[in-house]
Amino acid sequence: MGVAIQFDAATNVATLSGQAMVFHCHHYNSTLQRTIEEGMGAEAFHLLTIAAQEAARKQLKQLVSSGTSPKEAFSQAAALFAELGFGSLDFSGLGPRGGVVISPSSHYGMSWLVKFGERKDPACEFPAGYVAAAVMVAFHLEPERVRVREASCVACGAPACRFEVEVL
Amino acid sequence: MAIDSAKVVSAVSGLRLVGNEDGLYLTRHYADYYNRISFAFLHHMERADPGGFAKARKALIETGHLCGFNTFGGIMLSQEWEAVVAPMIETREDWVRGMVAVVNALGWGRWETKSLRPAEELNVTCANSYESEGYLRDYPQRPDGGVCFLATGGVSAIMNLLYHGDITTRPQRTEDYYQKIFAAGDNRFEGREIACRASGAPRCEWVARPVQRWS
Repeated sequence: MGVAIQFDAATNVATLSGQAMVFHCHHYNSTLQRTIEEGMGAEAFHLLTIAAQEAARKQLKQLVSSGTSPKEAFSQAAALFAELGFGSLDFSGLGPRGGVVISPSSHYGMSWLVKFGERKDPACEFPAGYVAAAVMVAFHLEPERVRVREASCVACGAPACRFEVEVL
Repeated sequence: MAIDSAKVVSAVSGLRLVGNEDGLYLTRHYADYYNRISFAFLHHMERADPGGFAKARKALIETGHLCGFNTFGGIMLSQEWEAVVAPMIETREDWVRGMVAVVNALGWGRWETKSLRPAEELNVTCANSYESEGYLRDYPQRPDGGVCFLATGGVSAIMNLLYHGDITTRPQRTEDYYQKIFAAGDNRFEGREIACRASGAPRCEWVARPVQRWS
């Protein structure tokens, strides 16, 4: 998937499907996540996930044409995820009622591990929100109908990140 | 030769930056995501504690320091810097201007160096910081207090890397080095946002100067 990010040299703003895109490195991504988790405690998980879902859903709705098959929509979502530097997502275990998404190389999980070491709870709130957004777009679902839980995470020592998806 | 900012922006924005062997892994991320989580965190802290704004600001600016230390430091030691910016550098101040030019390729908005006094002060302004843009789109204007925490930390990081530490000697960017240039000594630079669009200013403006000179 070729991602056509537009850069406006007059404003120095980069956009993709109307969304402003900014460069940031794994140091900032992981540290900001930790700052918010430490400051908000258990409430941070919901915030970090729902914010990812909100941003990704807006963009994927623009990028994925109406009439696109779910399989093709997931293919595009995975390609975009990789192109933006977030790692890989395997949606092949998903169907209309849910299933499993595997990420063998999640930017967030691996970055946490590299910077801070193993943690007790899964670290991939952003990818979880992104997966939820992809499911909503692929199956034309409202946000209330999709739940995603990261069942295992490389940041906790697992070999890959595993997201369990439930369609209500 | 002065830093040709437009040339740097054109060159860097066209690069397919994904990371380097120095452990810098880049993402092209959603500005909306950063804004939502940062400002929800800010508002959470403000609700929880009368001193919540100051605590949140400190934590988010510190996150900006780490960003600047690692991202800016990594960029200034990168092959891309050597290829694009280094040939234009004649003075230490060119390192500062060169880094500001690179920031302008990151999608953060249009940074302009208002003034630079070597080893004393850097003043940067921006009419479209992605942080204030995002704040104003989603929340009412604030009565006071800037919200461009990343940029505030980034401006002080540039000065700390050049004038408190010395990135030009290509030091190892270790935790000890970070502590030395961001947490130790009255000569370390502290950034402050002196004007912010989220509080009604026409432009956001960040100033970094040594801690002792703020008092």
